[in-house]
Amino acid sequence: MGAIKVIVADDSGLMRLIISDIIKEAEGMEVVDTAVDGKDCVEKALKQDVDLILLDMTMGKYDGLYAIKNILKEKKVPILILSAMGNTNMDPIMEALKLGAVDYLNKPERNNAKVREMSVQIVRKVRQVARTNIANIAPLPEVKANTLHHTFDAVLNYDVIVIGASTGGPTAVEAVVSKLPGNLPIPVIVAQHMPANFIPSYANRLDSISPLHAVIGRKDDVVEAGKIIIAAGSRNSVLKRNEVGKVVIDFSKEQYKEFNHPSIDGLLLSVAEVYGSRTIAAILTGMGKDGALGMEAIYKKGGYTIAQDQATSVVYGMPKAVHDRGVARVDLPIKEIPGFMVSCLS
Amino acid sequence: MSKTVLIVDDSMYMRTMIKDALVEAGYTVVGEAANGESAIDQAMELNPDLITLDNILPDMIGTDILKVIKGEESLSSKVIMISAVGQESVIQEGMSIGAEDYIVKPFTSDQLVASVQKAFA
Repeated sequence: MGAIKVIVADDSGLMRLIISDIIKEAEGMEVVDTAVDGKDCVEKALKQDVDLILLDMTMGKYDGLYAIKNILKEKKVPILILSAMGNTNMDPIMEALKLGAVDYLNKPERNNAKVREMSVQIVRKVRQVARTNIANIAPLPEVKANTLHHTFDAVLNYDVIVIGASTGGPTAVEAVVSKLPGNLPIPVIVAQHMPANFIPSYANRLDSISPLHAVIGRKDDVVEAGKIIIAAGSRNSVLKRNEVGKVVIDFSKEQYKEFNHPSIDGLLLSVAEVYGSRTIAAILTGMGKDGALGMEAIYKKGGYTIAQDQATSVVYGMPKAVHDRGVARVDLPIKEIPGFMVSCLS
Repeated sequence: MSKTVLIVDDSMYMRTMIKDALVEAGYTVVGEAANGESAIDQAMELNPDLITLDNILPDMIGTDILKVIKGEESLSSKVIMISAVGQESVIQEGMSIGAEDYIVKPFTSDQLVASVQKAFA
């Protein structure tokens, strides 16, 4: 395989230099061009062969969003956002992901030189994003919150829905939780791989698009219906029963092999212990294998395990690991998942 | 002309999910009923080509509705029963009364559409 051809777009000359150096020094990738704003980036992306665009968001009149819209209209190429914006406001990042950007990295604020310290992270992310399933790079349709109530059976077979996701996950999770009914009688727990400082605005965003109440899970928070509990980004969240028998969030010091803070395996293993067969669990798009171990535990207890299918996964890594282990009871396209979960409850 | 369907389910959420799947597959949803009485009324009025019938409704059991529909000579509607897991006896009963097929929850849109297509095949 040839080197990954990268275009670096940033309005700061210093940043273009630093990022280009990082890419050039890494094995298996090269900088084929640089761009100074969104418009420049569109022109350069369309005129040549390119495998990945490393894109800043704030670039004067023609910003990152402009570039994403206009590039993806013409050709499918993985776009990785590198921006300081997510430090303060997640919305433009979510907008970028919705428009078809694959992933994002948080740039240190007001300290360009610090980007050098991120070189390992940037190189790793470039490698991951370059392996994206190009067929699935496309803008998402507008997410409209479900306003329909469901008539749930008085006796339910399940007590919790738990969702794990990574690359491509923010929009996939949105597509699921926005379609769950507001009167869902069981709680939802989400573990999304994401930098810790993104989690609060991510939780706000899910809250705004779902009739359920999305909150970040704090230690000892009770896991109850009406809530979407988002696993914190600075620790590994697990579930346990407290002294009065209520299921609560706990933080575990244990480190897991595949991924930490949050570890999907860690969460799911505890869900298998606490809820056992009364669990509906889904692993959505993502790089790596986190979640497969936990899904196996839930599957063995008799819970309902769902893996997002290959055709709709931006990165078919985590769902594939679940599938390959033989512990997915069903593989579903993303748009089927919320309705399928609800139909498990009636 | 596309085939007409009446959807019977007490959950608006499920009716919408079923409707979206069938409309996307090219069927025309002519009615939706949330209880047994309304289901029978609409079936008589619309004589749809097919009825998707949830088995548990607030006022009636699906198989009882099925008996009424199959007993009405003026109606030619095919019926697909939708039931929760663990109701195998109900399914057997439904099939013996004349349901074309049955779907067990949870189900996907693809399964539903496949079942409807089979009913018309």
